[in-house]
Amino acid sequence: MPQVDHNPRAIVIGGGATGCAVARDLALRGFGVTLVEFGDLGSGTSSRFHGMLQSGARYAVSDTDYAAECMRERLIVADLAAGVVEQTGGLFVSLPDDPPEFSDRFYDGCLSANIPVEELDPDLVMAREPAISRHVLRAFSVPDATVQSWRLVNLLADDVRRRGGEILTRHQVIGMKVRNGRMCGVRVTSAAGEVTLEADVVLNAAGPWSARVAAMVGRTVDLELSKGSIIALSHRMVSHAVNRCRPPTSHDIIVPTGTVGLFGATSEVVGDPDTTNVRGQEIQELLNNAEVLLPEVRNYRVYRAWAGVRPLFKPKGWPSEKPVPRRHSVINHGDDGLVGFFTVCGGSLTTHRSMAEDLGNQVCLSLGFDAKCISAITPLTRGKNGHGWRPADNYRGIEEDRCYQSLVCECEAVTQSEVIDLIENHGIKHIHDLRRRLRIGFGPCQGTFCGSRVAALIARYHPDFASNDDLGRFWVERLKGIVHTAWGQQARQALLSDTVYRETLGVRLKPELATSADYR
Amino acid sequence: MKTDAIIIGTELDGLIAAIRLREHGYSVRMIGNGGGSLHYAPEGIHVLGFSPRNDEEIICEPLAIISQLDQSHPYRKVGIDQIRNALDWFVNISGEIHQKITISGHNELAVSATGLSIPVYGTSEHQATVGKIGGKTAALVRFRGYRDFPVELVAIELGKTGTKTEIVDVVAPGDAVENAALAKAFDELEETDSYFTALKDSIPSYADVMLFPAVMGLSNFHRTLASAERVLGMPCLEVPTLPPSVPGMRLERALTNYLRNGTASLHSCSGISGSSFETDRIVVWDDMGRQYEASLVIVSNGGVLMGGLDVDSYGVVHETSFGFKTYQSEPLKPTTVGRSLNALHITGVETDDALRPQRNGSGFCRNAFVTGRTLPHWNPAMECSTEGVCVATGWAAAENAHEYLESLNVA
Repeated sequence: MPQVDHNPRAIVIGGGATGCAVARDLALRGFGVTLVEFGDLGSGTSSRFHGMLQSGARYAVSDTDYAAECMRERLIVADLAAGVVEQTGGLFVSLPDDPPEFSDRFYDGCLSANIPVEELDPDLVMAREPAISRHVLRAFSVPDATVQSWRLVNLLADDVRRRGGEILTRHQVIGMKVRNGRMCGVRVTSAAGEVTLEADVVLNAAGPWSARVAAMVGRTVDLELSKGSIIALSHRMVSHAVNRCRPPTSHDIIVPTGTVGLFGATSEVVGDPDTTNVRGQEIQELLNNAEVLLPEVRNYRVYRAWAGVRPLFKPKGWPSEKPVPRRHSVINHGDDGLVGFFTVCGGSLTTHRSMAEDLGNQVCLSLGFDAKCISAITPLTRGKNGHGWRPADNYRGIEEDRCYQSLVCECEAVTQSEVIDLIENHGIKHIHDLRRRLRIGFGPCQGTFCGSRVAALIARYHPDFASNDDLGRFWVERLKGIVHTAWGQQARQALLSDTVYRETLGVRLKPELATSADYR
Repeated sequence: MKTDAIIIGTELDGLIAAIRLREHGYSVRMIGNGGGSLHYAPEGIHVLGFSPRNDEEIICEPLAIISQLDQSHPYRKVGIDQIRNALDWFVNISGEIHQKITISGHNELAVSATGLSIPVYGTSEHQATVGKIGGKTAALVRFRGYRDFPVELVAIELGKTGTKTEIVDVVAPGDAVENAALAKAFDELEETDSYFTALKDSIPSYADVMLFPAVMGLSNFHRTLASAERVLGMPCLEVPTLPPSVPGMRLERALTNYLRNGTASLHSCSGISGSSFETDRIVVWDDMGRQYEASLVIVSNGGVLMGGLDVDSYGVVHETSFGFKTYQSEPLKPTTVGRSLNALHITGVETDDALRPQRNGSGFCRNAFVTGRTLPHWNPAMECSTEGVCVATGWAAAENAHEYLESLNVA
């Protein structure tokens, strides 16, 4: 077993929840860390899911071990990052369409996985959740929660920076450096040009893109890419995350998060990790299923639809008819001749920390570097960007400061000073990056009014920046989601957005601009 | 009391139809919730800015290519002669209501709210166009605390086309920061000369044109801008802002007042709750339970954008007030962004060449006409043709209605 006498250097590929957690885990163990992300932090799967911090109850029957892991991690995350977690609680409701025998198995599964579960009176549940079906036969409460994933990812990244790590966004890995069967660095390209980064280990945490990363050095990662589409309802609709009590499949959950309720998700195996387009047929499928749980859903306003790609790890020889397990996997490519290269895949946002811990343990073992994982017991300090995500938090601040007029985004109550702080002090130059951090353009108007205001603020500090092009990209990206749900009031909104952008702002619709990898 | 015509909606097309019918001597009643889509319309009359087939291609002479449009396009139904008549007539009206529009026979390039160029056929006196500012040095006004004019973007774009700009920070009267409040503050400003005199020192001496956001007053903007030009000694032009559009509100208000003085009656309600349709008599109930009766109806309710047409979650478009047959080749299905938006734009109430709709299960109505955004087969945002189509179809509907009413009298 080799023993290193210096603090090892690690390169982490991927800036989602997993990559940031891996970077933090290693930074806490004393590694020098550089994280490389192709786009913006959390712009892939981490921000394209329904925002659940799982109690694990969903998997209590199908995979009790994984369910138990979720429960443990759910408590740790809620403890470390309390500011970005909302303890909504979760409900599992059994409707006439759901297999009746599943409820008892569900209850027993939760108990075996150490998930606190309680059966509730269906009448009480229907009284508490007026939007859901009036045909609840049995109901259970579990400690599900929701998480603001962008904020979580940024908290993790800030923590890495504070511990001396480096976060490189909009840097693409274009090659790997291998010397004598040992990984020793990566070559990256960015607006500033190409550069080679040296390291003792390279860790592939690129989620659905991890097979591509591994392929650069001729290694395979057996991923099953599963696309999930989600719709955002104009209100939270429910106060708990409400699941159907049946084996976990597609479109069976509504999650109240931020100002919206997210219903999803579909599930479809795809070949390309960039497949984030929603098909019209999927929307009708979602609505038909949503109607069972939320009978009035077709009369609700739906802001938009989007899709994310789940990177599930499919073990070799896994039977094709069996659902692919959710549990993560760490691959030490040293086992097939490439020392110092690891891939972590599978898992979920809820288990991002334990995935990082598992990987960190194996990396330390392979390097003979003796450092324990302390990520679960080291608090995450709250970042500087204290934009509260509950609308009430912002409105309180606005009342106190009396700055009603300086709202840049009325829908999500984002003030001018918050935007300027990110532009001036954090070097943010893209409207999209502000959107992810501040929820700009998330509300009813979907960027119709705030887009040009934000672009103007960016232009004030970065006059060389092509703001009208960036505005056009932001607009098209918002439209991509709205056109899927353009009925009722949102049909009017889609046309209003088009009218304002083309007739008043003079921006021409150039969808090809928004297909660039920056905006995946 | 029965009127000759009821007009549903307070859109530009409805106002045009109402004024034209009044000119023919008919009694007119408009019902609608006010606040039509003119509140989203930047200054000027946009007739056809981009080719419907290739929206990258700017059109110089819109009237020359009307004949190349699809047969179903509202312009083809109205026909080139009527379009010319309607535009000439509108230019006259615009002078009478002190909203003078000038038409030069080809498109100008208007400066948009982000400084980009938008082709526009009819321009008003203080509207900023590339022709008026090209090669000059512009002082761009940034009102303190005002967020609906992305002035930094305007500066960048104008810089690209050779217009030098300097942003000047200015405090608006009363420190107003919203479009309507700014317009009101300028309208109520008593000493405009001294306001602009105080401003003079902060304007660089080499500037030779002033660009203000288009909020310089609703009713007194002529006075305010004339004062600015006199004091500052250079042309003072307006650049559009985010909605609500003050120039659009000026036009809506001026047309509405003109119509009121012509004794047409305007009723405010938030919607139509029911109607009864007979061959020579139409009865409409508004959602406050009031009943209106007329010989004919003109539907100018703003289409999907203004809620005149409903799209349901299956993608089916409905006209609910009268049950008119709508056009859609198939239920709207999301595809690409451009095609999805286009499908939403080009849906509408199908009509014959005389703009008469069909009720379900029967032929074309003799006593109903459809105008503007309620008509199918055109895409205002892509073509940049909103006001042109509204003026042309509003005018044509009134002419066709006139013909129908005359035939009644003869009978």
